[in-house]
Amino acid sequence: MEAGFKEKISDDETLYRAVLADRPDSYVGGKISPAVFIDPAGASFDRDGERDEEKIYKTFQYRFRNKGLSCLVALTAKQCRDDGTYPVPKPTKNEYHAEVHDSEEVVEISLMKAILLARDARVVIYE
Amino acid sequence: MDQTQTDQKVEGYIASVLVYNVMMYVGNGYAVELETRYDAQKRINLHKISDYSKLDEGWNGYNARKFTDDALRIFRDTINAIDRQPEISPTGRNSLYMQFTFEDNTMVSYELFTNRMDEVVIPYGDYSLMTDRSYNDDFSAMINKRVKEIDGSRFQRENQ
Repeated sequence: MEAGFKEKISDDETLYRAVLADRPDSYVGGKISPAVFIDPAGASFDRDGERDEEKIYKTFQYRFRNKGLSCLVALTAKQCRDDGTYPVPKPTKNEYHAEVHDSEEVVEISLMKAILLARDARVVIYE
Repeated sequence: MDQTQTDQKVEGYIASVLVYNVMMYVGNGYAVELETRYDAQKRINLHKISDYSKLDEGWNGYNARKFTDDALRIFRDTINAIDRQPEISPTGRNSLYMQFTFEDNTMVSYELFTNRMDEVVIPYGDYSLMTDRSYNDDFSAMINKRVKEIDGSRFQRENQ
């Protein structure tokens, strides 16, 4: 892992969030639901950490092996910033953990910004 | 009247009833079809909300809250009271996401909380025209009013 990895999320980093198989109504209007990005605090993501995307997917699959993974939703940090949100590194025992906040001051993502994130999110599935 | 004449009369009657029903359908068909569709969607949405009550803390794999009884009651009451039915999706913060999509790609979204409702409107699917506002009460009345306004203005534009 590169020096500075935990301090700053660069624009070209991709952030991934799990959508569980038993999550109800993950899609509305044929697209990923903005509700997928709405949590009590900011939305949790995993940073790519220069890992291969399929490897990241397998890591999520293992983490959620009991509940089952439907897909990942992926956004670059630049897309998050362009949508007005604020990606923050939040390493835990998972060093790749990050959160996307509404802004530098506000943690909870507003409906409007959740809609923008859903518009820009890429759905990632590996069999 | 012999059997053939009786059969012809019965067939004629059946045909006239069929024609009448078809005409009624054509005349009122759009409204009837819409009403039926909205009623069916309402039942589906109420069923979904009932399923959301079974979701435990952390149900989305992250920090999602379990839905409170108060929130579920407000979701049910609102869905029951609105005319046109939205697509719905549960959020992790004890709120309900609702989305209406119109034929011209106009999208009206709501996030319904126990004490507040946020609205985002995206006219014609053009995100640069996106607007938002919040309401503190009369949620279902406000949704009915706004959806009617937006659908009405769309209809007027299309018929100008």
